[in-house]
Amino acid sequence: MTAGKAGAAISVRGLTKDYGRGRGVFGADLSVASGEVLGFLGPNGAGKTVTMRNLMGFVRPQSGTVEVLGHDCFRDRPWVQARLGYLPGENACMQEMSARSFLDLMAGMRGMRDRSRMLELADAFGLDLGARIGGMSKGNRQKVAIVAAFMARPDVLLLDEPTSGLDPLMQERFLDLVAEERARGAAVLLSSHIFEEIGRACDRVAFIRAGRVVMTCTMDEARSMRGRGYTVEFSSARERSRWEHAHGAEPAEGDARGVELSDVRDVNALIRELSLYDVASVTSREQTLEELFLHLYEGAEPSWQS
Amino acid sequence: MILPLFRHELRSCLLPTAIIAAVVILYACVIIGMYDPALGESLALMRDAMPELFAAFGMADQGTTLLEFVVNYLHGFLLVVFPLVLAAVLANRLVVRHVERGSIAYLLAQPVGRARLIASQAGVLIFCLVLLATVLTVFELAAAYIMFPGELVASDLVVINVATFCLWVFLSGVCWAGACALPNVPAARWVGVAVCALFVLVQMLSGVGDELAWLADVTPLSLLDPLGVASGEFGALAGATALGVSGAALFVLGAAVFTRRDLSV
Repeated sequence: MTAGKAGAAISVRGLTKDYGRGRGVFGADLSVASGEVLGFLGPNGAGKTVTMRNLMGFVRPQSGTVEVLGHDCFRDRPWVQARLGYLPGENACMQEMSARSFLDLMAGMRGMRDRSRMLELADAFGLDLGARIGGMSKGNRQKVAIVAAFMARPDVLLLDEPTSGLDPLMQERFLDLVAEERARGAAVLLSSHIFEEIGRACDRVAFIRAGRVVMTCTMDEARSMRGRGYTVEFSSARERSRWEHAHGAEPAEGDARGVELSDVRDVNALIRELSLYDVASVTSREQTLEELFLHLYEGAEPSWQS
Repeated sequence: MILPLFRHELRSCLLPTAIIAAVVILYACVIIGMYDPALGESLALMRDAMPELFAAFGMADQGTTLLEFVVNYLHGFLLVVFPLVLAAVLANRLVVRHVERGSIAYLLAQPVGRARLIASQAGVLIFCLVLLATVLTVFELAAAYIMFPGELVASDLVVINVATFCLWVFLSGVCWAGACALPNVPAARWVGVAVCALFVLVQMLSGVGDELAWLADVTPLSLLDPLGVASGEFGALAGATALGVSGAALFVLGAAVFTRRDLSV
């Protein structure tokens, strides 16, 4: 599924916010349709949080447009925020308050009278509403932030590292919640470092590096882009070092006789090359999404963009 | 005004307000109790021994009435410094701390608008100052009535305290404008209070000797003339009004910058 630019619930076009020394975002484009989850991937400092801040109207873009449901995120902040749920990357709930008073304050500021969804979410995540936030573990504080973001049933959700600190069971529940919101028609922008989470929760993924969105594709396309990984077992350590020598100074991954090769696209070339060596065995596996994205993290240009 | 936020913030600001109120009430009651001719003589002896020190703290003249005595020993220094400490603490608590900890992100994520948000926070600060002024006035009047019935004209003290409140609005406006407008957290926390402390120091220096008396013209604190306000002098009333109006303008300026600035939280 690819969201059309027109009518997108979240629309970022040519966004530039320069913080100097290469930090910020530069000409970023993103769009998320209603009922769609877009994964937002990139290394630390790539510009994910800056993009979120622009969408929240916390900062004003230097150029470009940032809109939610057709409204400018900085100029029409109250209108936009009435329809938006936000989970910040840095969990900074007011620590001196209990979870209940904090959530009541947030609900009160939204003019929400019905607390049923809040209680339902707190129950689903096993959150003790009476506990003081300052005394909670990181995971429990994250649950408070999740309830705060989702309790108003917003049309748009901006989730910055949402499962940080959650145990695997709670991560599962969170992914179920995202799926539920998507089915309800919410547009979700989900920034995460957990590749499996992106793979499971998202319809599309945008990859940002050094402030530039370098690739946007559907999850199916991302999966089809994955190369295969091969483990080559040479007959002896000497054969292995001969192979390694032929491939430059960088030591190859693998054990004494084996070599790990990731992101192999041309299998015939590999077979032709290995025929020159005494090989004991070759096993293959599909490259994981993590390997694909780490490949991009390290600076390789994408093979294509959509 | 955002009522749920106002209530929450007021609860968190009541403790520092109560502490400062307790301290100034204690001083006020002790000073009113000191209005005793015998003790007054010993204070006069001390003042004669250290005239510059007493003048620096705004206590150059003991005065002949209880009102003059109270104004001399209370309004010149104590009722400037303690409310300034409160204003700095509250401006920090209501704005700077939220930005520093990142909890401002949750407040900004609600559909209330920054102008309403910051007006609500400013309302808490002003409310606390009103509370302090009211409680102080009530205790001063009660102490004067109990210890020296008939010695103090209540309306004069009320007018003086309203004028003093105008000074507090000005000082808190300076702290508030710094807290709202400066992007750097330590600067937002300290610049306002440092500027106010400078005003206080300059005023103290201006009272030390004739050669430094000109310094009184460069500090806004000299716009407050409590006894002049009580006697209805136009210049004193205009000075107090100028303090109140410029304080309110500083609050508006701080709020205006806050609504437009980038908040990278």
